[in-house]
Amino acid sequence: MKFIRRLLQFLLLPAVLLSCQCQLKAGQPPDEVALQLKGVHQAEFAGFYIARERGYYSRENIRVTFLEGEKDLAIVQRVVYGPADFGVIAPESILTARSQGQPVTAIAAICRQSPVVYVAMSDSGIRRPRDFLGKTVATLDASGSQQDLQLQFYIMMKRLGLDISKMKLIAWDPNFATFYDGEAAVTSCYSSGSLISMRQKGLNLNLIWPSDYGAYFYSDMVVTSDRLIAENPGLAARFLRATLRGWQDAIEDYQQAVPMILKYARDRDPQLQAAMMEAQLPLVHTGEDHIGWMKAEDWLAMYKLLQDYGLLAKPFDVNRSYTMQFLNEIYGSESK
Amino acid sequence: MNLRSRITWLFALLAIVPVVIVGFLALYTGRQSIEQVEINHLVSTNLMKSSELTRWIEGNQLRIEELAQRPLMVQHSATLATSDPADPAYDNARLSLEGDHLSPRIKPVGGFVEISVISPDSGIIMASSDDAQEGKYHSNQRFYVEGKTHTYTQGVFYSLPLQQTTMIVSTPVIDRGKNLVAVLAGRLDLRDLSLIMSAQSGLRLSEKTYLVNRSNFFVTEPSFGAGYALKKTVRTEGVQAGLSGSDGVGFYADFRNVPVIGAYKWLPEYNMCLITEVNQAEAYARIDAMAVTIISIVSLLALIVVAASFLLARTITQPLARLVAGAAAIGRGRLDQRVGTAAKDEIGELSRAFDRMAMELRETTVSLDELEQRIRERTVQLEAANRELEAFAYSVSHDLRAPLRAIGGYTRILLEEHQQLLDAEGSRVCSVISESAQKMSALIDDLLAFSRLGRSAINPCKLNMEELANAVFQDLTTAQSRQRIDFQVDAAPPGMGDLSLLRQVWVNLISNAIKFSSRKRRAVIRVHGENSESEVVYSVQDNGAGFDMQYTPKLFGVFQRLHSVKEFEGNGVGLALVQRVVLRHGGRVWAEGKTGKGATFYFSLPR
Repeated sequence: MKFIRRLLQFLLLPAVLLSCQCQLKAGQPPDEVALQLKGVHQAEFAGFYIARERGYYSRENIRVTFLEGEKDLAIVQRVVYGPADFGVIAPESILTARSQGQPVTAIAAICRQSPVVYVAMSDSGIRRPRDFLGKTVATLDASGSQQDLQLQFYIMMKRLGLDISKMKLIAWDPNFATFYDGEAAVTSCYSSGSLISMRQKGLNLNLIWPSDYGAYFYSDMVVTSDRLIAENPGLAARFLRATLRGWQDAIEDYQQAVPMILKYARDRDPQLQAAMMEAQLPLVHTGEDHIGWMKAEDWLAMYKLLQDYGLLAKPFDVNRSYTMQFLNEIYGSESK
Repeated sequence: MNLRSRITWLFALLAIVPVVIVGFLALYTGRQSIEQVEINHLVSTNLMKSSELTRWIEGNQLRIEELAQRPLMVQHSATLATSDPADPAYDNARLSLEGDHLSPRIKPVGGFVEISVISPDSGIIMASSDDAQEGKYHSNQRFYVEGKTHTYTQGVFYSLPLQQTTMIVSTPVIDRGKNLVAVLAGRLDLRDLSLIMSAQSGLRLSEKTYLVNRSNFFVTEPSFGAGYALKKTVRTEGVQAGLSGSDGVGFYADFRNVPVIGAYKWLPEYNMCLITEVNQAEAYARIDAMAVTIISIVSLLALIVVAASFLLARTITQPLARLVAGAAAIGRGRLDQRVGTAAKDEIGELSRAFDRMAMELRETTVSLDELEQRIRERTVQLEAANRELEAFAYSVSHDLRAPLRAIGGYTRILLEEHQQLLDAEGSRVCSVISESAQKMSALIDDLLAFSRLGRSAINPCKLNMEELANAVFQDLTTAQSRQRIDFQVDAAPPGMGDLSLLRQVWVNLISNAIKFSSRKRRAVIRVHGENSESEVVYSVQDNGAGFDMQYTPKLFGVFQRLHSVKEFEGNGVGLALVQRVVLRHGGRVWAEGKTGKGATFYFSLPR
């Protein structure tokens, strides 16, 4: 009997130890998370790259995969039904999706101003939207991936009561050939993107910001599905905390971010990425509030704009489009 | 280390240590007080700057409020708010507002850079000092929303359309009927704010004051560079402490990693932190200057003290050195050497005492010489007397022999030829006379031999002492007598000396040994010799009658005997002779013994 007991002890002990180890390991594997970006890899997503490169995600026990945006990609669908867990998306897409009953919620606003801007040559005399009347404007979204350029144009014109039939609208040209050769007097572009290359050409431009004319929009939002918020709010908080830390680093010293951006970016021109990064900064940090912060009145204003324009399928409670739960959790713990 | 160095260093140490301590204390308290002055200055600068900031903002609020309350301002604003833009009255009101009220309040530098009248319904700019602003919407801007109800200042923020940081003061324009007719918004020239912050309040060149927002961004341009406002973050110790909502002072490295003393103040009404810093290098420059002065004074003092103590040590050690030289000279016999000085201190006293000592020593030495001279003279006299005495003894002995021989001879004739004339008593008396004469003759012979020893010359040669001792023993004994004597010569080293004289020494010592051990049934005699450092020591040991050690001094005297003639015959010259021979060879003699236990006689010869 004694021998059998000893034999059992001898055999069981390693088994028990092994099983303990297995349990420990079982608690440790990082959460696999996929982030759906709204465009190709570029400085626009610098904060996410920094968070990954500096190990902020790892510290939150998260292993993140970045999914590049593509044409006509229904980011909301990918976040709600997979394969993505989080997404970077424009607020108007959230509001329209929400009005269609899609369970998607914004958890932070990375860019609290829109980079959309309309430009005209400074010698054209075009200084405000009213001056667009009778002119050719390159802003129509031909590909479906620059909806915001077109949308904000329409909203701005509607808000100002300007008749777009009195303008000649042509397709937005990503290479701005129509603008450079004078066919289009006005073109839309992004202050954090194409505007840089225009300025690099030494052009003197008049900038007409839609936000000055009633089309005030947030830009890049971090979203996730209602399901994930309900089932795993801890993961959402951890993901957002690491992300915001990455963005904080990015705005504090954007030069440092450039090498990390270049590891991902399609365009490996460091000067361009640095300039894009610099242009991105005021969108992320306005000098007021914390990084990622959202305001109810801004959401309401955006909702009203879309509603007025008739883009929302049916009315809904705008406050369900976003949640301050995680921002409050993150900054609440830091609040002074 | 010699005395001079020791005195020099001791004095230097005694003088420098207090000076260094005092210097250090002066420096320390100086640093403390200067530090306190700096801290007070920084804190009061912060207070002043924060009140200047408040005054600047409140002043601008007052200016915009004052403008908003002007009757024409209210009237034109109401016209704009209520009439159609196509109405000529609208344009008139707008032009009047812009020309008479808004534009005149714009200055090239400072104050407002733009003032706009915003529609209370749509948030559209109806009139503005800047044409380009007209028609813009501000409906979502906080200054507009808040400005509808009260005077409001929107903190420093980045305006994307303006592509710059800005600050806006807004206030409602209300008509007599208490209706809101417009929101008046003025954009402030932030250079004013930077100027207020960067204006030097003291003489510190490195002093700088700046504002930092909650997100650690510079709000105003620090004096050390441009392009910082809302572009760069600062996370120094002072900023972190200030952003945590406290007021205080710290010592830390600033944004450029320069060590500073910084005062921080949290401004809750603006959600900003006010920082005033001064480089530690500049703050402590006065202390450093003081340190240089103190170190210079201490160094100078140290030099003076070292020089003075060197000279002092010299005044002490120079007479001492003379004393040392004098003592050395006196030691070499120059007793007339004088080292005395006229100095009235202890060293002078010592030098004079030294002189007195030398004088007395000289006198003593003179008397010693006299004494030696006297001894020499006496010795000469004594030697002469000794020689006379020996000559006298010799001649007496020699002269005594003739009459003694006559007494002996005639007594023998009386006994041999006139026996018949003498009765028994006469014969006995004659026999006694004859024996006594013979004894006396022997005594005189011995005495003469002893006396001769003192005069005969020594012919030294190397002698085999073993052979000599053995030969002497053979001569002194017969085959029969040798049977009862255990005679043994141990390895005795050779010695230097006169053969006949040293042979006599061995004869006397060995014959004594044989004689005094004759009463023993078996006599044991040992002859021994061994080298010591400076001499060779020989000994003759027997197991005979021995002697009482208390009579040792008498042993080697002439005619001294420790035993009666009846016990052991002899006339007491033998050992005296031994002593005389050995002394003449430069050696010495001694003996050890115990009554009845034998005796050992030693003599030594120089090597």
